[in-house]
Amino acid sequence: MRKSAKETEQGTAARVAFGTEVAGFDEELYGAPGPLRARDDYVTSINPQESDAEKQKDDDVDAAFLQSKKPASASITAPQYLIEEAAAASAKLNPQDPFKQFMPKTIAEQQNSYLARGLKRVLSPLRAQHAADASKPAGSRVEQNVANGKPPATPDKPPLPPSTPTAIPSTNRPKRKRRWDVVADTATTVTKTQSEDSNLPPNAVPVPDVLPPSAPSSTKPPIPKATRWDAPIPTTTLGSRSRWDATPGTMSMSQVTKKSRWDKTPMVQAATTAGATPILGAGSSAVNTPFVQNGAVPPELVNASRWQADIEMRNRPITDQELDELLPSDGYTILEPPTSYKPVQTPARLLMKTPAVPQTPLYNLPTESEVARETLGIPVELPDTLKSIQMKPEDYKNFAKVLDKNSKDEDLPAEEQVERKIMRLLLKIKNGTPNVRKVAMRQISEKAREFGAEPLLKQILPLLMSPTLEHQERHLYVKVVDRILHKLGELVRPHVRHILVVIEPMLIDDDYYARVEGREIISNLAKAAGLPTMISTMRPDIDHQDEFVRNTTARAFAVVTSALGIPSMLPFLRAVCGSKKSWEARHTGIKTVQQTAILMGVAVLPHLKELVEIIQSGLLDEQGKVRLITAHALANLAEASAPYGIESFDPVLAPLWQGIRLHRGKTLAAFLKAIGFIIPLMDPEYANHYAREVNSILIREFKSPDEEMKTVVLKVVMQCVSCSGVEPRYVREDLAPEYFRCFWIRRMALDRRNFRGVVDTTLQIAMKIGVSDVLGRLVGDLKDESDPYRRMVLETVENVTDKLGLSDINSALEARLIDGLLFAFQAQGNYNDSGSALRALSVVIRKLDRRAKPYLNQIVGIIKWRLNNKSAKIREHAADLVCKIAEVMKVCGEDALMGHMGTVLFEYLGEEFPDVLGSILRAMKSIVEVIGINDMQPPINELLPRLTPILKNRHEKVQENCIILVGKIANKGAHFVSPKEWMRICFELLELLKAPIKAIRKSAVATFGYIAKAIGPSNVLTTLLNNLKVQERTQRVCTTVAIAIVAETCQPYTVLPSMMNEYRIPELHVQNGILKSLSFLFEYIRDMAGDYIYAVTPMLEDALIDRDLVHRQTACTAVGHLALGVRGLGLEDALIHLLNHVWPNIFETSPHVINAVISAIQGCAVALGPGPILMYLLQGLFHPARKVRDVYWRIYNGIYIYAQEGLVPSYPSLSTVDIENEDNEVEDDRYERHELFLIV
Amino acid sequence: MSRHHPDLVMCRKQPGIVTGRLCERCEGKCVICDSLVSQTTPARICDECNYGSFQGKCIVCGNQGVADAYYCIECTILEKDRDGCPKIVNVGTAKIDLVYEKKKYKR
Repeated sequence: MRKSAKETEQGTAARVAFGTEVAGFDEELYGAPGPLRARDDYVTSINPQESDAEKQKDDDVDAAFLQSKKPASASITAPQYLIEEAAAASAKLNPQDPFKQFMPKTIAEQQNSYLARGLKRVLSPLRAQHAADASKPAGSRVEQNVANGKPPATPDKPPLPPSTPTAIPSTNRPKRKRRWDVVADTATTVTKTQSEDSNLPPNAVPVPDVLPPSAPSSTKPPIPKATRWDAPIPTTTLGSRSRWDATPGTMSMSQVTKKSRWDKTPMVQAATTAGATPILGAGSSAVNTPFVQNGAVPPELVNASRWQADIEMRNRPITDQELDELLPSDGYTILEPPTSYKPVQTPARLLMKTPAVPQTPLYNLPTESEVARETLGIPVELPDTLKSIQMKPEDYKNFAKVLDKNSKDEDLPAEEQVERKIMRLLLKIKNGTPNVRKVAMRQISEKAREFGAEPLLKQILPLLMSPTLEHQERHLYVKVVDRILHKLGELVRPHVRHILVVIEPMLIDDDYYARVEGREIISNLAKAAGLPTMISTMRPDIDHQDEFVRNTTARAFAVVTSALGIPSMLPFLRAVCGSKKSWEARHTGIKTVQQTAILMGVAVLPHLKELVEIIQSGLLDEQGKVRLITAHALANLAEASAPYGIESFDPVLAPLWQGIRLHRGKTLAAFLKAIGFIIPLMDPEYANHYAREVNSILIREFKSPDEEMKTVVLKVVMQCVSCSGVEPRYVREDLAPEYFRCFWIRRMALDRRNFRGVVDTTLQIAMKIGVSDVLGRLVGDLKDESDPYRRMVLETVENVTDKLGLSDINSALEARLIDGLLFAFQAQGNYNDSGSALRALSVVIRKLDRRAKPYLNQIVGIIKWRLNNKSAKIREHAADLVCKIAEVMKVCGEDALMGHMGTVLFEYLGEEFPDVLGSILRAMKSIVEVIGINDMQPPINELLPRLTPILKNRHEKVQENCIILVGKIANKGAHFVSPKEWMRICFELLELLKAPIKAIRKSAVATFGYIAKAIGPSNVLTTLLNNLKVQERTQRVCTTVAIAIVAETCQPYTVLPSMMNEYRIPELHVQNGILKSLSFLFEYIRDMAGDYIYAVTPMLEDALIDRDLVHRQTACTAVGHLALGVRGLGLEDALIHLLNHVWPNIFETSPHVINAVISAIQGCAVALGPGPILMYLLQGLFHPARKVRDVYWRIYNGIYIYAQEGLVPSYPSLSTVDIENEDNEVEDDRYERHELFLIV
Repeated sequence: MSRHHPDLVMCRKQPGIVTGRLCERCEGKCVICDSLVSQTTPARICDECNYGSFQGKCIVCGNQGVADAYYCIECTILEKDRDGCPKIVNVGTAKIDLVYEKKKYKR
């Protein structure tokens, strides 16, 4: 097997060649810049030791091949080492996978190393925990040592002979905690092999350690895997190991890390080898040891293999058969390929490919799905219940138990049946279609108590820790946890720890929604389990040695605090923050306070004094980190309680002020930050004093190169300056010059955070010292050549002007300002521009108002010029500017100029870029607005016909602006255009009713009203009523709104008859549409409905007794609006009649219907008074059936809240009821009259 | 909004003097029943819901607010304007589901 060096070299050359093909494109066609260059990186001389490596590899591969009993299809693939070679080459040559960005990403891939520590946390076995919990008093913890980060005591191994350095791992790095070394008897063999093989990747899945006893892998010798090269590897397998993991004695470290293509891609190799077994061992016994395997497969590899398979399926050549299906068979001839054509030889791709490609004509293709599945090690047939569900490769391992078609649940013990049931539901929730998912979700939450907490959590929690988890999957699992928490209530108590271990890392997730979900779960958990359980569970973590655990624990405590209230947590916090034992505990305690302040905001105010007292000693702590976090916590508390609560901070003022003189660096920054937040709480005179005190240090730190310090300094300056006590003169003379010198430099504009800080702080300074001072300093910089810096100036000018106006700047500065802005406006690039120049210029013009007149001509000239520019962005900005300054032009009396602009814009309506066209339309609209319809240039009768075709444009911005403009014209100047044109527009508008943007639909609907007003309702109404027959719901709903609006604008009597006539059409959609528009109509016309109530009652009556549910629902809504509209008009007879028809519907169960019914009853209660409703209610309030009572009491409670005093006269008199006296004799002759009876 | 998304939870604490805001999308809607007409009573929210970064944000969806929030006339008649602060304090499942559904396809 040993190859000569020469052979190796040749082999390498060949491999590299096909590796280039793997890179993904045909060099002959596209040229080969990237890969060729990359190829130069290769070392051409191969280290002879590599042959050793290769040999080892080959041995490994062969062993792997022998062990995994491959299915027939796998035998067609290449030898494993070639596949690996190809993968390695492709990884090297094409490091950026072109499809990478489109692949779904797992959470593990996206996390940084800090967040990934969450996956390392131990999920100790549920059962052991459960049992231990049962035997111990509540709150005691079994695996305390585990949580404290101490490795659990493992049974002593027999001393090894000195020649076998198996003990290396444990000395080199802390032994990783895994669930399987926390033990279970059934899995001892597995556990042993696992713990000896310390090569598992760090994100090994914590899984139930109770492996299926049948798992054959435990009897199998572990496959020696070439894993991470830097990990110490037991030399028992090292006999002929290759050089990189050879004993360090023979080779120096530099040699190991020497560049060569072998150690270049260790991960891929390792990954490939590791992954090879489960993949190739399709359907074989490997599947039965799912968790171990799964843990060992890195997520990238799983994804890569999935992607690979997918791509191969997609990219396989089209067969003749498929071509026949695509194209008609006659009329086409099959051409001979030209003689010069050589098919692309891509051995690598072919080797890696599954046998989907017809290599020889005789070979019979297996069907598509089978191929794809088998290559991934997947059984072909799914059980019937899971037929429709999409599967991912790792699902086959995680859910293996329920995927076997042949196993029947009935033969299993009850416990396992439940387990499978849960598994099936989880699978449906994870991968099912929305409907399947919904049903499964409901089932799992309904049956949660039946299943029990342990079986449920035992399955969900390990899945949540899986490294291949994607965001959506995590979300779905978390949702399940949330739902079952609700149902399980106090039953979750024994499992709090496990849930926390899984959920806590979500609190520091990058994703906002993940954090929200995490918070929600933990607060629900706290409410379900109670404070004592939560505290006793999380207590051991507060001085955990891992910072990650402490961080998440502090946050979890903060969530618990906000859920259960600060007062109940105060004693605990006091104890923790005063801990003498370890600074970690104090740190965590103070961090909890900080997080609580962030989370609860102003709600900390009532307990501020206690909270500050609890943490104040931390300022003088001997541990730097504690001082740092204390200062941060104080800053957050002060921020949360602003502008109140200064008296609570009294005890910390002295240490803080001493602190800023003592400390440097990070701690100083934190102390300054705290002071910065406390100063605004002070009384003005104190604030002034303290601000001056701190300013000397601030000015010193202006020059600090530290980024964090800069941010803090900016913030503190802003807060000091904003205090009312600080005098403007002091700021102007002492602070501002230095500030502008140090912060208004180009470098500050490059960093986003600094950019924002400088802009905000300068605004604050301007508010203190006036606009002209600040603008005077900045105006020159508007012509600066650095683009980001100019943008910073522009943004400041915009903010300052917007906030303070321009009344105090003189004409010279005004001229310089406009000049600078126009320069900046024209200098803005046509790419990567945020439009800051546009915004600044328009704000300045608006604020100048009349004073802008001299500059308008120049600006319009520039606009006209730029409307002609070839860059679309520039044209768009020019049009936007017109829109912004139109109002000022009117104020300045430049009507002629505006007319001119109108004509110019009209010329540009042929614009083809939709963004620009939208802006032009918007500009046009603002001109029409200020100039008035009558004076518009071009005249409306020319303009509108030009707009009609634009309505057909599908771009949202165009649609929106066009419809608003048309609506405006229809509203004010409908008479300029013929009714025929309006009808044409009506038809266009119907199309717009399906627009996805609500604003478009809204203005389309309103426009119907204007048009109907202009040309009379009959034509428009016919169009609309016909539109009720369409299929799409949105469109129908919008049509009903439009009908209601038409009815409102043209008076109901013009429209109601035809609507009621239309209701006679026996078609569901139409009738519902009519009812719906009736409901909207009553909502719109309110008390006017009194005139029509008798007319519509028979129709509503008919609808209320219809068989169709939606009929009744819509009619109920209509009755509700009607009743509210006509209250107090003396129409009780009709309403009682309608109520009689509404009432039988109270037992409907569909949420929409019952809501509508309740709203109708509420409306009637307002119009009829609560008394009559009570009469209805008394029939059922004490009904023997709970279901009946429930709804009656619901209605009664609503009425009671709304009008309890109104109910009093209507309560039945109970004096007729027999009253028993003390002697159990019935007194029926007692004379009793209440006061009320006397009055009545 | 809460009318169409029953899982949304309102704050319901004692309202203060601050009128809530609505974003561009929610503007013009009654905060209780989503009605688009007859906005009558200003919807006041509690101090905590106006605190910090919540200030000026839409009380229904959390976007940047552009207009004041109102109760419509019907909700005013039904005295639903007196039930406490109407700020939505949770993120509804519809929204979270959508976010993750989109995330699946986002790069």
